[in-house]
Amino acid sequence: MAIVGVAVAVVPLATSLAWSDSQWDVAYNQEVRYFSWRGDRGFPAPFTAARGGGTQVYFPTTVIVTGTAPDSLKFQLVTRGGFVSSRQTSPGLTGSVTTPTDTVTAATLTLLSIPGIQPFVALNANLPTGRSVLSGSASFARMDPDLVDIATFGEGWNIGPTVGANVALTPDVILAGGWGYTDRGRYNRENIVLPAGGVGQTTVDPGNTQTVNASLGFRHGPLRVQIAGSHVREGATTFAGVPSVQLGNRSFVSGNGSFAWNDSSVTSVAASWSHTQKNKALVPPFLTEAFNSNSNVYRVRLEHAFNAPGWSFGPTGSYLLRDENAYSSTTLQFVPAKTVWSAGGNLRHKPHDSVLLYANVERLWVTERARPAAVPNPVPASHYTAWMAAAGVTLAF
Amino acid sequence: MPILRTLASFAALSGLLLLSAPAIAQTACPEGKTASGACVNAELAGAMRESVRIFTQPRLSYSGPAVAPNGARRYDVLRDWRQGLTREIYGTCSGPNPCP
Repeated sequence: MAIVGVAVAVVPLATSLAWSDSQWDVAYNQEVRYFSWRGDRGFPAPFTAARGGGTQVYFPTTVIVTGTAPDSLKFQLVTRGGFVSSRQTSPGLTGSVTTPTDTVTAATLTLLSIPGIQPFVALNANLPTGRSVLSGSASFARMDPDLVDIATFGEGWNIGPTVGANVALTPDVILAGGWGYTDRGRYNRENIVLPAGGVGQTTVDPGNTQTVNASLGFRHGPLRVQIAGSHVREGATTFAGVPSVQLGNRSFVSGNGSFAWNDSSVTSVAASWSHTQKNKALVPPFLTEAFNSNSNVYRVRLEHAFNAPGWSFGPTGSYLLRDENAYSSTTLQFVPAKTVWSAGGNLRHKPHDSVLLYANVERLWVTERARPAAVPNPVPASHYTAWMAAAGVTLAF
Repeated sequence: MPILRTLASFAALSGLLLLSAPAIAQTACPEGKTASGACVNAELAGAMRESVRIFTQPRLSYSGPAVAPNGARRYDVLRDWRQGLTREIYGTCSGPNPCP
């Protein structure tokens, strides 16, 4: 109660003092994304011997409001929602769903008045505007997350505070770090009973997470680089009150950089690596598994942009490797070793300072290793192809 | 309730930050200054803050991070699929109902 009293007393007074000399900007982004895949098996592969396929159309909408009082404070509110229509057409696993997605939002307040360090606090949230219960064949609309953007369509209220700071060593070299906690709320979800689909409901109470992050960014002439490392502590997830799964703690490193060869030619690269420690057993008894059933995942993405006044276009390519088949006989789960190659291009046009139009398209080639011990049916090595296309507009006010 | 305590703590911390800020801007540095008084690179500072905010919330939402989708590629590491996620997303899995 004391904390609430302090908050009620301090926030209105401080707000009126801080924003007497400020500038506000609003950005609106609307995009449409289309995914289409075909392959040797439907999803999940152990439950069908037939070739499979599916499509997804996703309409994300994002609004960003930024208020800046130079050398004093900066406030930013980002809200992203959307609408998705997802359909799998694999024989025996046909299903579709059309729904709003969950809405994710983040409010960040940054103090700019201390020379050399800019601390900030952020409150992030997932609002359950989507759909978490998919009864009957609708449950088959969930598809491989490497082939579609939205792998599932709703969860509960998630609240995530973050505390962090930028430390500006020079104008172009910044160290940053932060700590975040995500309180993941309870929600209902159908039971999956294959091949019937969703039957009945259960309550999922997902595990909360704590994450620490450290980052370094610098600019030097035509070179830009950012590197970030994080470590995540995972909590236990329960189904109907019974402990069911606790992922191993996770570490990941992600970096991106670009080099401007000249005013009309820029190359960008992004890469990441992630590693997950042993899970706690996913069926009783709730013990740490004897061997690590998680894979390491490596990603790299390369783009080149040719720039002309108001225009930018160029090729893109990427590679993903999940390095080992991950199977646990105690959990009856299998995540296969996988490689994903992609190639495509993107186009950007800025007809006005406050308008950005863009489009991109990619072709994907996916190879999964055989799963000889998959349940209920072994799965041979599988190949998939997919198209991903997106077009959007960003307006600044 | 823990959530109310968390929200109240966040509000109190935000208020203290607000009170720490001077009411009148003295120079036009949109992302603050270095210790020597030079303006921080605004684009770099914004990108670093966004990176910390998103990477400290890896499980915030299955819908993706709180960023415009055309700027989300740099956070693809958060999409990496893991063993237990299959169970959490696709339901109870035991006996005749194994996870995919």
